[in-house]
Amino acid sequence: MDGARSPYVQMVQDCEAAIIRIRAAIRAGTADSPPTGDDLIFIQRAVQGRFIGFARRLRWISDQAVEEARQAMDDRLFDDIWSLTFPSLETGFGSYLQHMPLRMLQNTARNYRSPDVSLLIEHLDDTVGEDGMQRYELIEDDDAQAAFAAIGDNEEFAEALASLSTVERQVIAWRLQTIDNTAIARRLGVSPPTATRLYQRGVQLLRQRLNPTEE
Amino acid sequence: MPDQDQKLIEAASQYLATIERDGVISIPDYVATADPAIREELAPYLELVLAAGALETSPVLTAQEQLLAEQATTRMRERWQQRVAAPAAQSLTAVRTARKLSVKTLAQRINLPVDLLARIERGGVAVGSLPAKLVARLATALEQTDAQLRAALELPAALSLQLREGRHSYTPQLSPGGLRLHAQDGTVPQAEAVVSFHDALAASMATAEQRAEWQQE
Repeated sequence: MDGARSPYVQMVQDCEAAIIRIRAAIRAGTADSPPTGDDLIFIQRAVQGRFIGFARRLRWISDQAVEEARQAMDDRLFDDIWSLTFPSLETGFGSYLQHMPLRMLQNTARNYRSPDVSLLIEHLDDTVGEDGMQRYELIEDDDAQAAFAAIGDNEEFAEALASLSTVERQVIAWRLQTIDNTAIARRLGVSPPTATRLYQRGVQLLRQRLNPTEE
Repeated sequence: MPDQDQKLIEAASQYLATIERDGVISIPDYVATADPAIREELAPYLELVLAAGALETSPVLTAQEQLLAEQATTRMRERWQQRVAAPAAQSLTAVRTARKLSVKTLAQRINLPVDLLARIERGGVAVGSLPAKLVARLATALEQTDAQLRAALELPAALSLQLREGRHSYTPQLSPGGLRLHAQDGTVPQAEAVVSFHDALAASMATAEQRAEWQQE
């Protein structure tokens, strides 16, 4: 896990160093130098990578909204770097990378409100079938269930489980204890579709860890 | 001062850190402990954070994404070039009003007498005599670099010079004991003597505390 995180940590540190250099150049009145421009583009590309990663995950947001959010993200990034009153950017850029692209996507998606943000949730909440069950309650991953049964409690599985985030791990643990999705959602204080997503992502990550060659 | 997004980011980071440290905590329970000013926004944002999850690696871009990313990079480079291209000189007054600050508010923030700040804005104080601490405070309060702030400080002096030479119509702010002039009324403004910062401070309505602070500079 450490090995997988190192490039990311290195990238964050490189971005923080670039921000410090840019701000020093601004203060010195030399921000028009080519290295400053290169530093700025380096940071922007790092943010773009995270932005695109999140946009893929939030695939219910339309392409148009994503493009608008991308521009809002760039504007925000530029202003935040240039604003000398945002000192934590120089030391807490990892947090910025994790959250600001998401926040920009959320802000922009609101302008497109329907169907961008709520479409998937509404569909997952639809009542389907004669039993009146909601769609998210019917979502099962047979492969994952089979994988759990086959793997049992071996060491490899434990390691894979440990590599998940605390929330993903907890959701899977609850599901394995046959706690239903609605109860899990209540415990987390999220909607049932979000609880379903957490479970599905956890299962998907587990499968990737246990079968690295599998798509 | 952090804006709403910055506050949300900080709260969300703390939420994730709390979960990693203490185990899962429900969003409503956590939100109840957060700054009331961001609670309404925080709950849906935290749910989005959980729904999106953390990214371990940056994705390999598709051709289309690569194209859009390149376009975004071009826009960013253009924006940088525009920003660093010789900016149009703005007077201190213009910089201040652009930030919707009154002379009084700005003076309070930097602990300077209002009339002295107004005189500085009019170019009635020699820029070279201004204490470095004052320039730094003004730059911070107005979100300017020191270089930008000094350029802004120089502008009123240039205007004042043109005024004396009859090359510019200038409508200064009402100064203590001075005249409010209009650009079209034909009135020739009284030339205000440019004095050192310390002389201007002595002639100002500074409080004892303000005098104590700035006389040391």
